[in-house]
Amino acid sequence: MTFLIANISAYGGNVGGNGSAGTIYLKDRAQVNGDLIIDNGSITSSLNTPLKTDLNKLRNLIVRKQGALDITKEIMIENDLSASTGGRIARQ
Amino acid sequence: MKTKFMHFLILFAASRVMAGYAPGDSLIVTGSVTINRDTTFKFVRVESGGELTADSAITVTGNMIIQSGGVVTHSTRLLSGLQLNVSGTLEVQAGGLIDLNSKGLRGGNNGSAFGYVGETFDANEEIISAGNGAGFWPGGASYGGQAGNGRQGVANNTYGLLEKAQLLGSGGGGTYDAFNQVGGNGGGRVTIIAGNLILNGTISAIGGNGSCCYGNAGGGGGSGGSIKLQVGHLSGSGFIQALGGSAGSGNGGSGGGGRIAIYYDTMTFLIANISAYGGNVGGKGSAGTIYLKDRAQADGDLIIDNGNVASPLDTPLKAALNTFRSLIIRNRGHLRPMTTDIKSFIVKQPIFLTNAAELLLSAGTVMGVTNSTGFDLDAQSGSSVTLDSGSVLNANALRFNGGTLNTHINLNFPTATDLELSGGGVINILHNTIFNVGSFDTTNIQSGTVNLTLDSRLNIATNTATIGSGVTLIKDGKFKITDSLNTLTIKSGGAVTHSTRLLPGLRLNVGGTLDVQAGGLIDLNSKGLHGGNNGSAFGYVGETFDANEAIISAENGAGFWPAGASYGGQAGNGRQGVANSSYGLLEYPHHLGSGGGGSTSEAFNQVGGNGGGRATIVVKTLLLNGTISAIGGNGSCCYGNAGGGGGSGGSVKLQVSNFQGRVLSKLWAAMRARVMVAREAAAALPSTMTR
Repeated sequence: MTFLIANISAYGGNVGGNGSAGTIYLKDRAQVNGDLIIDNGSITSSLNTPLKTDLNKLRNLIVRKQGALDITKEIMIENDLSASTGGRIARQ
Repeated sequence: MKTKFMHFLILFAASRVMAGYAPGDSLIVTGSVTINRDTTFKFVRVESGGELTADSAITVTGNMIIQSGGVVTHSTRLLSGLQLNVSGTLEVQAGGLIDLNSKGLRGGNNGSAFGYVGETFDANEEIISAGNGAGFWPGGASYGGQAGNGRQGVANNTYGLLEKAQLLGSGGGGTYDAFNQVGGNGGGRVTIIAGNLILNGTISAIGGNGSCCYGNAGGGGGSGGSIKLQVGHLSGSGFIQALGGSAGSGNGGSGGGGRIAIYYDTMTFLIANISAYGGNVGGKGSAGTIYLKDRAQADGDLIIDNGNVASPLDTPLKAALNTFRSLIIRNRGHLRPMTTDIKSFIVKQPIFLTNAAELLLSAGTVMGVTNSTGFDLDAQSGSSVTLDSGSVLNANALRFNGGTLNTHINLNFPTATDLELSGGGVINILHNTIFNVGSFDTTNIQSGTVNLTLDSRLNIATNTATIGSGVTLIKDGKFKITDSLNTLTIKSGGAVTHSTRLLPGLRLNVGGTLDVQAGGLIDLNSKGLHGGNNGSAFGYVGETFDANEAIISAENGAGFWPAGASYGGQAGNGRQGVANSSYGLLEYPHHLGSGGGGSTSEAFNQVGGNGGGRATIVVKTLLLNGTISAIGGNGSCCYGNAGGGGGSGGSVKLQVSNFQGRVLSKLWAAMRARVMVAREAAAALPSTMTR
């Protein structure tokens, strides 16, 4: 893939009670596990994105730009876990 | 007023009834004259102030002139109508009038033999009750065109044959308990046989208007009558009219247009001045029929023109003919051939539909167009052609230049130039229909919308499609039986989408390259579940899914301040509404987005945004320099500080072997997306990532 990942977005809505980020899952089919991106495009929201998945392992997890991920189940990260620019990870 | 008889010359200055005269006599009418026995004259002139009522046939061995202010007519309800046989020239000068207005069958409470119900004909041309009158709001009367129903009265059916034009118009309904409002009489009847006709005045057989009003009740309009001309040369700039009468109130029905048939040797008369529109009040009437036949030709021309009267009603094709030279449908005229009237017919020249006209081919009917070159059927400027299931269209080249095709039957266009979509037209390939085209690119699909509905198929011989600028493909159905293409290109200004609330969403299987060029769009915005007050099955509450993927109430709408809708991410609550919970699995995005809440009626029904749509795209090579977008719709704004909730983003699932694009390209899915890519994906991950 040479497509620019920054151009893939799933932000929440930005008026009133702002929404949380959606999920972006990228998987290289040659790899066992894929990457999860939680990116809210710098939209401030008090809400978190629940981790709804049947997967038990990710290759990379990136939470950024006011993205907020609720870890609601046990999951392994094979390579990198990144939380930056207002990104938050919470565990329930 | 004075009366003078001379050899070869008779002047009538006083009212008089004539009983017949010698063939050598001439007639000059300056007063009121009635003829009730077949009579032959050498010459006839009707002068200003003269009114000639001819209840029997008048034969003129020389010429006949109707001067400005002169009138020729027949008595009301005379079945034989006005009969003029002029060996020389009949000249109706400007301001002269052959007046058959309201001279047909009687309206309800207007002399009808059936009381408040208007009169019409049965199949044997016997006068019967039209059944148009009922209660406060009676219907209009039909003849060539179908009359509008009233809120209570149901109009009679059309009758007669278009090429005959030989019956009186029918009477509109009157009211029976609303102070006896009066239905308009039908238009009268005229048959003119003349060497030549110079028409700078008017021949008019307009149906009468219903009376108005007792409260909101009024009478129904009468139908237009019949005008039949058999002439050598037809010239002039006058008018020929057989219009339906108007309803007395907006709750009644107006009359349908009448029938006009003109047989000629040569004609310079302006065809635009020949009209048979339906009445234009309340339940509006459909167009009557205009049949023009050059006597040197085998077949005639049919015109269905409703003068932009916006009637939803159709004009049946009642004819003993099975071949027409041409067919023109225009100005909101609607022609609907049905097997009860005609099973099969041929049109030799191209068929034109303009200005919101409609052609509806009913089940069992067969229409052929034998034109040898160019387009056989050309629908322009908001016109439409509907082919019902079981109908047959034998035509090999169609153009929809601003027009619409609704097809329920399979169609084949093996040569690319045999089909053209342009001018923002629409092709609706309706359920269980197969549409075969030689190619699908900017040469034939130039602009407009192709709507491939669920369970229908679009077979493209080249296995390649190009969506050009101004073209939208709504792809709910399949490409071929395998639902796959080799190449799909979406150019700048082109778009591919699916219908709103279509659960399977947009499915694209492209064996080669899907090229979404800069400015090209896979548009799934607001194509998901309905927002509150936005088509939601739950009223002001938006739609979402339960755990079994059944559509349920999202519970997002409440009072003034509803909530947004969740899918992958959690939506914000409103000050009153509580958002639904997130759903689905991040690695398997296959849902539509949910609808935001609408506000209750206390807040004037503000509208929740629809959810984003769904795309599942399997492709070998994806060149994405345009946009794939499944954004949820915005809530409407505002009543005070109240507005609708936003819809959630939809889902985009890509399975790509080779995914390329430039920096300007975007892939938007406001809540959840899954992308399965080739090995080079890892190298493209952001450098900010930390362990």
